[in-house]
Amino acid sequence: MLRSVIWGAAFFSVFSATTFALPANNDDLARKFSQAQQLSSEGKIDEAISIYQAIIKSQPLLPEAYNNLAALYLEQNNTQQAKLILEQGLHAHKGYGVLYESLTAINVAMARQAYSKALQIEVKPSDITIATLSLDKETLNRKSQPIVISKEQGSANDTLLKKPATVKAVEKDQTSIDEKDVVDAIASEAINREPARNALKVPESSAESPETILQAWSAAWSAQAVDVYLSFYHKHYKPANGMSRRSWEQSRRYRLKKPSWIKISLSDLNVMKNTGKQAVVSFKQAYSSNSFRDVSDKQVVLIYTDDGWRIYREKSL
Amino acid sequence: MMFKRILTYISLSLSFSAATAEEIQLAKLTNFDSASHISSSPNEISSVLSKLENRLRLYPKDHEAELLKSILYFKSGKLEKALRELDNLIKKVPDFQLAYLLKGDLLLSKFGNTNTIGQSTILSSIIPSLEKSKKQQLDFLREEAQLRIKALINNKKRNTLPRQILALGESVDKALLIDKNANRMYVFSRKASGELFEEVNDYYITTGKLVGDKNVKGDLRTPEGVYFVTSWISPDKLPDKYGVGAFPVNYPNELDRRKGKTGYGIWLHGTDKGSYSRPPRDSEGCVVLTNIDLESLKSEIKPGITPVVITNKVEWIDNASWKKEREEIIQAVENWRVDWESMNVNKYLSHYGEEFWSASHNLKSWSARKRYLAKSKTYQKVKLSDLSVLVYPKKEQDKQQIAVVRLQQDYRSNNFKSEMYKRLYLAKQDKSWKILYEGR
Repeated sequence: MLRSVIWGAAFFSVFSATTFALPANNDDLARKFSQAQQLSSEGKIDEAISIYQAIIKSQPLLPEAYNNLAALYLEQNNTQQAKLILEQGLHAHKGYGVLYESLTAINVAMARQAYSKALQIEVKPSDITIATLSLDKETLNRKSQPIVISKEQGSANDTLLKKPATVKAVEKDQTSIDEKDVVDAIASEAINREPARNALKVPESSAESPETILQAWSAAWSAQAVDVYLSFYHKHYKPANGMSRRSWEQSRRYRLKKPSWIKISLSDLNVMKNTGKQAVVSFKQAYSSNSFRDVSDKQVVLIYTDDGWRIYREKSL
Repeated sequence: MMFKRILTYISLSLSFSAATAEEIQLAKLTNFDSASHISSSPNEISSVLSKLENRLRLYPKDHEAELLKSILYFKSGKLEKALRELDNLIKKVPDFQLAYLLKGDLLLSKFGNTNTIGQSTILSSIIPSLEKSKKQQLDFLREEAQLRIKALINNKKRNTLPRQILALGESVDKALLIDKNANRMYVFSRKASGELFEEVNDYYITTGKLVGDKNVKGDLRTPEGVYFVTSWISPDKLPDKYGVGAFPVNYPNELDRRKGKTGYGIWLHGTDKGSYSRPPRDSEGCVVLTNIDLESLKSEIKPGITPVVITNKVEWIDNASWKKEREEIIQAVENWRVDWESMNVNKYLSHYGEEFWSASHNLKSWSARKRYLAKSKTYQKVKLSDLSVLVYPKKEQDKQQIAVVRLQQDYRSNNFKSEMYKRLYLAKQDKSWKILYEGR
């Protein structure tokens, strides 16, 4: 874990030299930055930390700030926080996060190859898949930042529920929802009419409760059924981190498909508000996959549409 | 960049019997408990690195040194350098499985937990459903890694000498000393300068599948004792699994046969092509070297001359004790020579133990024969030279210490003249050394 921190920092430094010059007219930022450097060299770690935090707040696309802040947390032996900051930095701009994950994918593939040699196992040539990103206007306008250009724009939709294994898993998850006694009559009718593939379609019932929708949403997530998962989101859903809808979708697609397995379980569902048109639900979300595991508190705002409840906003608390 | 580079990798539980400051430093370097986050100073790391560089200067094919270098780079936070070192190594030795394992670990270390060689949590998820045999192979590689690292820690700056080798004759350029417990073979060389000998190199080896001394045929154990290389068998006369050739040793030797030990075909041999090295305990009793190491040693191993002392654990003793033991045995042999020359048969026979045997005698018939021959002698001259003294590893159940002396004997008397190489087995009984066996 510690190493990922260091590596993440190295990754940043490659880009920082060329692409992330401080905005020329922002003397104040430059002044703050050197002040923070000065303070940290004097051992005034806490003060330096708060300055870097302020810098990140005003200029979230400055990797040097994340990097140096993480270094200070490491100095305080707070590796968790250091890691968090670097990850935050990586995801401040969608491109970095994806580059990082693509590099990760390549590293894993190379490691697998090395291990297969070590253990004299025959492995098929590795099936590395790397997310392809599209170029949106927003990105083009920020000329000073690195851009990841997609080779196959808009090809993502074709990949819906490719693997039969995925569908199977979906069915299973649906069953577990049934057991929870929140089955909607119409939803189960739909399942009976068109078994397998439709099992996870967003239920079209008006009787559907926000909780049920969220359970189905998490089941689709667990099944890595990306399109079903995405269909739970309102057409005006706005990603929390300021990403465009399109790049958010693509990053979700990537994130859902990358791990070999994902398991999401929701607990402590609490409907804080439900006007029939709008609902606010908080819950605990336990995420685990072959490579990562965490538990977070989440809050979502759902809006009732002609198709039923849809996620309008989603945030981690 | 300000980074506290605390890298933990190898968590081995090694015990250090004689923990000198140097050893502790080395232990810190390579023996990291993932929890303790001990950080090694750049000085310590660079000092070990320069030792490894030195090893490579003396023996450029020391691929183990390259592997260890990579680990040290990694430990000092130089991941890319570590990977480059490994890639170079793999290019040179494309069948070094352990190097691949390490490479996988290093690649994954960028984002996973890699505290111990081959135990990456990601390994099992990217190579799912490992068969049992492959899991075992992984364990073997981990063991091999530990042994190689342990050797680095234990070998350096050893101020001790092996009790097993007390003297090497002028005709004996090299002696091989095997530590089964450490899976290591040490090579000693006679110094031209008159000093007795020095340790020149040591190698990772594979020994018998089962631990313990060999007793019977097929028991998969590597015998412990003093042996000599008897011949060289070239690879074209051997199945592939012996690699670049084999040096048979004289197991069962005179003492083994006396003890009723059975079995045959204990060889030092190479490795099947397709693998650089073999797991630590994998042979049927042979001592297996990598092909590269065996090739480099080949010209220095002399059939009929080169001794191979095999121990479970080499006894490293301080210089003073070593000298004392050496003098004691050399003196015992000298006393035997003097008493033999003196024509006093009783005195001469007093050097032989109760259990003495030779190819065709026991103590009684030997004594009778010698007394008979003595009658015809008016003078005897005995000259001994080219003396090698090799000591058996002492096991707990052994009542007596046993040593083997190989010497050249030049005998002249009024009616007989001979020149020959002899082997004496001596046993220490009641504080004095007695001859147990005498033969050619």
